[in-house]
Amino acid sequence: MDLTSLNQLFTFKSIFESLEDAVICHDIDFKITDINPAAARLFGFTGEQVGKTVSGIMEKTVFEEYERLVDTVRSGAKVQGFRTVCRSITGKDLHVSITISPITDAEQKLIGISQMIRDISDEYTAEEQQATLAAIIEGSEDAIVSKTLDGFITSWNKGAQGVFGYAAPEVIGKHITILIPPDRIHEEDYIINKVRAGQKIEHYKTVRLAKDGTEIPISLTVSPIRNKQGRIIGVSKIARNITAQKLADEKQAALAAIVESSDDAIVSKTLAGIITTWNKGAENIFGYSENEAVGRHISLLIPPDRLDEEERIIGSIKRGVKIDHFQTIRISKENKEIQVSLTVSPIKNSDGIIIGASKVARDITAQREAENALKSNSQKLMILNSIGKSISEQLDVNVILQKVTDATTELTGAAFGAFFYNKTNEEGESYMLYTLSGAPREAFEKFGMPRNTAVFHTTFSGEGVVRVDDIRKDERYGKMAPHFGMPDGHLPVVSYLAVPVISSTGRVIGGLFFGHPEPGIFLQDHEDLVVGVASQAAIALDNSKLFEEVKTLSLKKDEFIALASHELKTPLTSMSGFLQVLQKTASDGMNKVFLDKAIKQVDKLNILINDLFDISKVQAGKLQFNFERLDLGALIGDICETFEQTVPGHNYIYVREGDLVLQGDKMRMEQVITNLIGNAVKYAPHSRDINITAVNHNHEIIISVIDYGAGIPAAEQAHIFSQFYRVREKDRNISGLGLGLYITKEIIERHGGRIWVESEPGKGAAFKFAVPVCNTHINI
Amino acid sequence: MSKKLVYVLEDDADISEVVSYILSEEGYEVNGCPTVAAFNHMISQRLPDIAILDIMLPDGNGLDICRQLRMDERTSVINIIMMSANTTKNEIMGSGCGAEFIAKPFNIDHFVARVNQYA
Repeated sequence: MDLTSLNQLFTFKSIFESLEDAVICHDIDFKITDINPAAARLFGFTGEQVGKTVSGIMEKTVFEEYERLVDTVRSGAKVQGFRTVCRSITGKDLHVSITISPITDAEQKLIGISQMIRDISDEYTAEEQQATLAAIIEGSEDAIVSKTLDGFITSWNKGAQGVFGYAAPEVIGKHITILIPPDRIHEEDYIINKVRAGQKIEHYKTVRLAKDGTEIPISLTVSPIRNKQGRIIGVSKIARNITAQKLADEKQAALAAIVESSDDAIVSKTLAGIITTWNKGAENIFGYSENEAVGRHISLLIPPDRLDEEERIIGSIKRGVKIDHFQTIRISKENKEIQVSLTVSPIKNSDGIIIGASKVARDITAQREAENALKSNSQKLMILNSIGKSISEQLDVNVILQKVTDATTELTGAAFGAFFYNKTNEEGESYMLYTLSGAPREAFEKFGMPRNTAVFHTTFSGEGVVRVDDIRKDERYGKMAPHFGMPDGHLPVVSYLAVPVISSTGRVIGGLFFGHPEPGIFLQDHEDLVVGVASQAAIALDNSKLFEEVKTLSLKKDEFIALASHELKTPLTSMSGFLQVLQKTASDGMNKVFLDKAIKQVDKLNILINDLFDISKVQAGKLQFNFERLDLGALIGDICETFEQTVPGHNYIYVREGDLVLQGDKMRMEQVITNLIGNAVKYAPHSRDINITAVNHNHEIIISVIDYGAGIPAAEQAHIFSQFYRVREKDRNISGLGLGLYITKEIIERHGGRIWVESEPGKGAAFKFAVPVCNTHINI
Repeated sequence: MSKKLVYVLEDDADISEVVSYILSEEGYEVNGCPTVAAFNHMISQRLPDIAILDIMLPDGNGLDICRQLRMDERTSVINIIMMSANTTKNEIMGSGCGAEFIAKPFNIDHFVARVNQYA
């Protein structure tokens, strides 16, 4: 070996021993030939390992990997910077980089292997951290952006793209101000200045612009970026999109505001019933403040007799069932009962477990009152309706006024009510009390009738309704001597209501007056009701007055007819008397014939006058009857005889059968039979035979009077028993007032019987009536 | 046998005349008067056997006279016949003064028969 080679060898030796990297050399049989101090340092190898095989110092799996690497080198390839993990002497896994080189002799024959192992743990950790950070940055939903101190964007993560809409290539190199709304540009100076000063900005809430121009609420965290020397070289910026959070915050704030501003009581409680929240509405409704209520048991609000309701409510809530619009009663702090409608819902935690109940209580006292008011209004309407009906059916003034006074007193809630007629006494002072309700008549009599004072005048002059909350404070009150107000002992009137009752002609009939000892009792509603009733009453009173007038007129008419009948009969009586006297003495001949005719006409005249008089009695219900045992059969026989004598020219064929005795008025029955036979004679002058039959059939006596004249058309038959009715075709030639059958019908009916006609036009007519034998049906 | 005395209280002179004539012909002594006052005066002077009374009179009512005569023991035996144009027999029966009744105008035969029942 020459000197140069020897020097070279020492040089290599020195390098080998001073290398930072561990070097292990072995021959082709893996027998270790050399180990440098670094190897000893890293792996704890000593000289003792020299001469042993590499497999002795490596774990089996590592050695197998190493054998494959050596095979690669043997095949002539190089292994450089192969990264793997080795265990150090301290037992620590070291990240290493291995370079394996062949050792050849002068003939280039492989005689061994050198492996150089470099500890790259530090380097590896840095890389790993950077990769992790990169992954985090890329995976973050927050926008993570870095920029230079001048504000130019240097990095832009996926999150930034998500938040602002720009892709990294679009913004890198651009100035950060593209994200800042013009009115917030100043923020950038502030941020940069802080960062330059080495300070960090955390959770700075601001607004930035997205690519599409929308403003995005963000929370910014800005940090300085320093180089290894600690010099600040840039800025990292994390922007979190807080739109959702902002919305949630706003929503929560809105909910809170709603809860707080709700008129309903909104309360939450635990399943054990302990109140946990209490809003303003609850405070207003129940009177307890939040401080007073929270922490107390809900039974605070529940009336003792309704405590079981809470168990049922909680039972339902525990099953997750909501309670809707449960109407009940709760108690306020002032111990006042409150009508509430409850809606109770379960409160669940984030795991879905029911932990309490929220309770919305609506105060429905007012609603209930409104319902009650409605109910009472409909009752009032019913009263009004019934008053209207009952007074319109009434014609008796006393009854009408009493009903009206009673009903209006009830409707207005007055302590007492009265109707006064608009009539003053001779001195023109007092009004006439007519009806009273709610107070005895003596209450007025003690001090006489109300006087023509300013208070009353308004009503009786028809000026309108007077409704005063406190009459004592009214300017019209107390102006009149001697009392100057209510006399002592007067009904205690404070609330006062007076409504004039005005007839359709505008005349003030009177006034309805109401009083109550407390002020402010009468409301517009009451006034309206009374005005309504008063107008109905006025109509009823008008009707009553008309009825009275008609009644009076009718009475006058009856009186007149009675008088007229009397006055007509007086000359008729003397005339008839003188004629009969003459008749008795006259010799046969012309004189006697004329006298007979004159007497017959006088009789006719008498019948007409009697009919007129009877009809007025029938209408007045004053037709009197004298019932006695009456042999109707014999009566008819007598009448037939009379007709044979007085109206000759007809065959009056009378057939009777059975017992014909009944209870009857002889004179009236005579009138009936005479009328029927007379009609037959009158309306069938050419009918020779007139058949009269009387039979007792089934406890009724049935009388028929049959003629063979023109008969009566079917259409006329229904009318012939009406007043003043006459079968038209014949009217012109036949005298009579058309009253006979009407009176006949009345007489028969008053005997409990019935009358009818059977007729076939052209063949004649049969008038028949039936009257019961026994008198139980008689209408006296 | 002396003639039966009949008083006729009737304000209509013609009726009074015809009634008096008829009854005189029948053999009665007839005294007519037109007013209650005159009738009462006649009663106080002499009692009739029969009194025929109109009802509607200028100074009273025949039914009242009838009741008055019935109530006085002295006059209660007088036979009374009411005579009227308007009042029916039923009303006379109803008034309970136990009188006969003749409606105006009357049939002379019926009238005489009524009076003769008391002769």
